[in-house]
Amino acid sequence: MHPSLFDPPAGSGIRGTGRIRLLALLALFALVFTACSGGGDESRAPAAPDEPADSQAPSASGSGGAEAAGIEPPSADVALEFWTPFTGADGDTMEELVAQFNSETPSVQVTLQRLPDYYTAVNNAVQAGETPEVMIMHIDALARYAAEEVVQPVGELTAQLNLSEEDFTPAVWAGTMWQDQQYSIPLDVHPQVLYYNRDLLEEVGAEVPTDRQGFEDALQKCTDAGYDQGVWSNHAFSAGLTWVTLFYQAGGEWTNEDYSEATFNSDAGVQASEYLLSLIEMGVQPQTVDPDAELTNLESGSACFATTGIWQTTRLQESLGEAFGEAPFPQIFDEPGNWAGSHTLAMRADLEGDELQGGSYFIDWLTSHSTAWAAGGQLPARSDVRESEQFASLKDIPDVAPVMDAVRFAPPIPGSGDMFFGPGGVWEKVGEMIASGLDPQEGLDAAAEQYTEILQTGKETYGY
Amino acid sequence: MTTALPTTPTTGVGARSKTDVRRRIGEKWFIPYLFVLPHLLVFALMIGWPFFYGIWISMLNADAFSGADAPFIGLDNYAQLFNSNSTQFGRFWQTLWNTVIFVIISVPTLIAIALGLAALLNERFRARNVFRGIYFAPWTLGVSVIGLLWFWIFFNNGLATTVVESLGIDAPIWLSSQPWAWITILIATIWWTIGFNTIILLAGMQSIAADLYEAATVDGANKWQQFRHITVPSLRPILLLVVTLQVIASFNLVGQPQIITNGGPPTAQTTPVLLHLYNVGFRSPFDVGLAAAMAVVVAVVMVVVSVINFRFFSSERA
Repeated sequence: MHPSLFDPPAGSGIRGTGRIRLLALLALFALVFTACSGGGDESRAPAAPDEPADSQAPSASGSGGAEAAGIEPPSADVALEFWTPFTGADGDTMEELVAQFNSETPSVQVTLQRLPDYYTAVNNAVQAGETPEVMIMHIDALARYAAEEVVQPVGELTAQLNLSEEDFTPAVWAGTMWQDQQYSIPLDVHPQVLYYNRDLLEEVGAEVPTDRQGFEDALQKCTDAGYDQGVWSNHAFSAGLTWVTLFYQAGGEWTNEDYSEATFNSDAGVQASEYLLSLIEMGVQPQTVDPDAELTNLESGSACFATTGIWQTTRLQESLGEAFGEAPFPQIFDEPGNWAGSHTLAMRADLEGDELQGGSYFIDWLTSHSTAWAAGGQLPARSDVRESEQFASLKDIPDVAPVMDAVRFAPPIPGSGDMFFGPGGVWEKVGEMIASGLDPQEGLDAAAEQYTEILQTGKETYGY
Repeated sequence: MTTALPTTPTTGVGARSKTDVRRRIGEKWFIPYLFVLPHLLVFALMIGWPFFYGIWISMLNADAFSGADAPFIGLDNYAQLFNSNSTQFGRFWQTLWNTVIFVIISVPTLIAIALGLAALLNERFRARNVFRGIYFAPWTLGVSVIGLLWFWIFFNNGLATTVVESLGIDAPIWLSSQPWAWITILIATIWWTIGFNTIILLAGMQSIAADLYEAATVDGANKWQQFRHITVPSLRPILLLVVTLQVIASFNLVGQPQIITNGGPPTAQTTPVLLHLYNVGFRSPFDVGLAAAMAVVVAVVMVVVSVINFRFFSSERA
């Protein structure tokens, strides 16, 4: 499932919602209003409408957007290219945000590029010496670009803004590190979630599950009532993510401390695999479900649940209407744990002077205006945005926010995501376990052996 | 060009009158080369240079960022493909085998069906040209169009499942189980490309002299005998062309599995080698050198197959 490895939201078919447009329109109104009444001091960004309300008061941590901390747009005019993989409705939202930024900040003009096949495009641009000034980096892709010196450390920016891991979460903050330096600022976090159909749950008399007992009960009740299409499809982003979440919940670690050995063939890995298989055995999950069919099954009312990333929220909101609900994936094992990805913002390695300042200003602006972005099916990475009233007023998405404390990411080394998604990686083995009865321990051992070798090569190449 | 010899600057009127045209072209020795130059440039730039550059890259430890500045490692990339202990060995040969299987299954199917269709379309009946157009039409579509089309037909509880189950048969999960995933790809490919082979074979059939059939009819041969003993043998040169093109086309399979099954079920069971090398080079781990080495190996395999194919047809003719 490589094409969507780094890029779940792009191909996810999220459709634009009226809500986003409405929000943008309101934003525009508020903007005009503020500009008219506030007296145009352009060197300081006007209080933007979807700025978290509490950020205007100096917060204890000193974070909270452009006003509170000391970064201003550059004095000279700069034009920046901003590359993203957002080709769907998420790209429309980003387009609106960038337009808002451009109108608020005349001296920094950002051009948004929405690219399919994103990393191929970035790599080609790097080769051609045309690396964009600002770019989206998925958290599991960042280390490679940091190691290859495509992007630059952002330590100065975070110091200037007084940002620290408390302003995000420790996991996502650590994920943007490469060899003790920070290379990007997280924009959002997109966890695996459990989608459900409220009407069907009510009909069968099941609760939204939060633990193992509740999960199995609910699945059993749904299956008994004929909603028997289970919860996942045979897809890396459905059954696959579930495996990772279970693996984290059972206390699994991808590698040992110094990244010299793949350790996902531990008990945790086996437990995660066996739990997936046990649901099939219980008869509450079909053995084979086409990739993405978990969504169509939920939409057509033949399943109570579906699980994949949070990025399908708007699509399902639209098709299920009031019956739609979403929640963190239930905690099956002892520890909290949840798969997630994250879009982070990075800048070209040789960016300097006014351009660097413009890029930094833009990144800070964008991350603190990420409520509208979140409405399209993301959790804002910045805590102040997540704790804002605007965010709380969004539909459904805030229900998933508690998962932020449980999310984990692959180790911050080049290519670590491959241990799961890559050729011969865990997902393939799990797929074989489900489809053709491969023994979990045996399958994971084979993958671990292969990736230990790849880690060793990586250590030589990148010196981690 | 008529002459490549440097012509001595002649001023004699007699010389000019002898070979007036030749002279005018060949007045300067390099003139003929100028005529060849446009094509030579295009050829060298678009075919020659990438070809040798590809071979060069296959001997570098190149990733997406290093380009041609990467360290030279000789045949190490090839060694990875031929050493059964390497992590790249299994997947490469598995996907190459996938491709070969597809060639073995798809080529005879696509030729046989096209031959039958061409024979039918060669008959006289009303609206014949309309049908010729209809069979050819899908070939004009892009792979993404046909990929999505057939994906939706076979996806989950889609059209194919509904139709099959209305006949009282349990439908398989087409896209996520074997051999159905391959059958889906094959069906999509047949629907998409059958028109091309059909049109070429039809053109071949139309060039077969009508008196052969008349004579056969007089001798009492039925339609099948005519097809077997006149049509097929007369088509041999055309068949050589069609088989050669079809083998190459089937070898180049990429788009249909990429879109319809995404190379799955999970363990790359429908990943053809070219999709695999694309993933290795451009997705992860960005190993451009290794991908180039795979491309060279695949190219060699294709050349061998084409030569065998050529030999097979020319020996049968002899």
